[in-house]
Amino acid sequence: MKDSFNPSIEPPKKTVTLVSSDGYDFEVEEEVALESQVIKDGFEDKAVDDREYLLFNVHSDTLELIIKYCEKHVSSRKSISAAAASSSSSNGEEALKEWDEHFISVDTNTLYDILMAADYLNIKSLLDLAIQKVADTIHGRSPEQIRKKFNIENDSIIDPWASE
Amino acid sequence: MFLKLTTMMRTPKFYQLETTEQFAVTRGSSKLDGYGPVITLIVYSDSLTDTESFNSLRIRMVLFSTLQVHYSKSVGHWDRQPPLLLGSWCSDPGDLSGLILCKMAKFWVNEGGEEEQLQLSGDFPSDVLLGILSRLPLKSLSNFRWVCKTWYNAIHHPRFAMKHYVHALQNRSPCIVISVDKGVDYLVDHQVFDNHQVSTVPYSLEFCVSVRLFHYQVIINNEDVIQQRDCKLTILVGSLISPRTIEGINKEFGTESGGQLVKLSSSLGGKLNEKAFPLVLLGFACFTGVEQLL
Repeated sequence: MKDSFNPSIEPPKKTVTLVSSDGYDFEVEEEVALESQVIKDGFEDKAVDDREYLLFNVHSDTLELIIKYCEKHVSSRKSISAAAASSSSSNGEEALKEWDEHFISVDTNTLYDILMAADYLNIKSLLDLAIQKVADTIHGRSPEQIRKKFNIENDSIIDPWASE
Repeated sequence: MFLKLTTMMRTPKFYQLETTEQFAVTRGSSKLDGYGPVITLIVYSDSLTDTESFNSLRIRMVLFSTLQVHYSKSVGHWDRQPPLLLGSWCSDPGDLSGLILCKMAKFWVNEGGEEEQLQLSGDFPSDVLLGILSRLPLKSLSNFRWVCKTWYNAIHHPRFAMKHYVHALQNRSPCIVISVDKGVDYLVDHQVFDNHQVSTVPYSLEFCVSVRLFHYQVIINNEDVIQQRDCKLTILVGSLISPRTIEGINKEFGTESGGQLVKLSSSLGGKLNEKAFPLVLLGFACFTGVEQLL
């Protein structure tokens, strides 16, 4: 029997191309792209054989951030599990949390874009992070401030402060 | 559909319900705008004057499951969305001390008979908006109802109530905390939610059964956890009640802290004639230091 198969040789890392709404290509590693449940589902379907995803709703500026987030999470997951395997103590999770906190500290528009992109791509951890951030931001504001912040039209039927 | 059910309760110790099967069903009068069928259940019991324990919780639990059974029989099963309790378990002020009146309605049944989905438009996808809102404390929510129609509808939607409640439970972050004191009768006004008049002023509330049975003083004190004196009453807002929920909460809070659970309820923002949708407040209270109260 021939023994040509050698498992120690790793195949070259598979990449996927993500195309932003404004037409920029982003080549990312497959496992990074798989952070998105939408892309993952596409993979598992096998119906999709494309290595290229057109993300109509995500602008390149946002996509860059999203990819940064996914890469960070993939790599730190690896290092955390590696640390756990060698039973060495690690503050990887703490560090990641801090990183997340820093990552999401952006202006409202960017936060909104990240939120919408995370929803569109279905990246749960990022979506949770962004939602929590929005909740923290708007907590304690007045309705008027909220309307202004998110550019919402005031169509409220009842406004207790308007009457009387 | 209006349904009356007279139920006799035997002894408070067994909490068994014996249905007398006397149903009076009338149509038309109780059709609420935007609601499905409403069932009113009237229960007579001589045990409700019993103040020696928290048995009324168990009674209510039994009542609730009875109500569920009758609801299923007469209206049909609820699938994804169980009916909400409309109005409170309240005793008649005219000293009919054994009377409990409760209503149940299936929300959001449109004319075609199908459940209306929560429709949100505009700036956030509905799941995202619900996610954001469910992370906010009641104080903010009360305010944010007036942002726009979409937010108003979202906050008043039963599905949101459930989501918010679940979130609060998971995070051990009660939406309202009420302090309990001996001797004085303060209760939480359901108007608190409407008017957003929290802070330091105490409000009275129409939790008739609870008050009369337990003689509590309850002061709403914003969202801060009050460690005042011996007793702490925690109320979680916005819940659908099912026996399983109660079981779960009992596990979560009851046995662990040594306190006991009491279900309180009140409809919030309940202006039916103004087409506002009442949100039912169902509080689970964890009492500690109960002995001092009784």
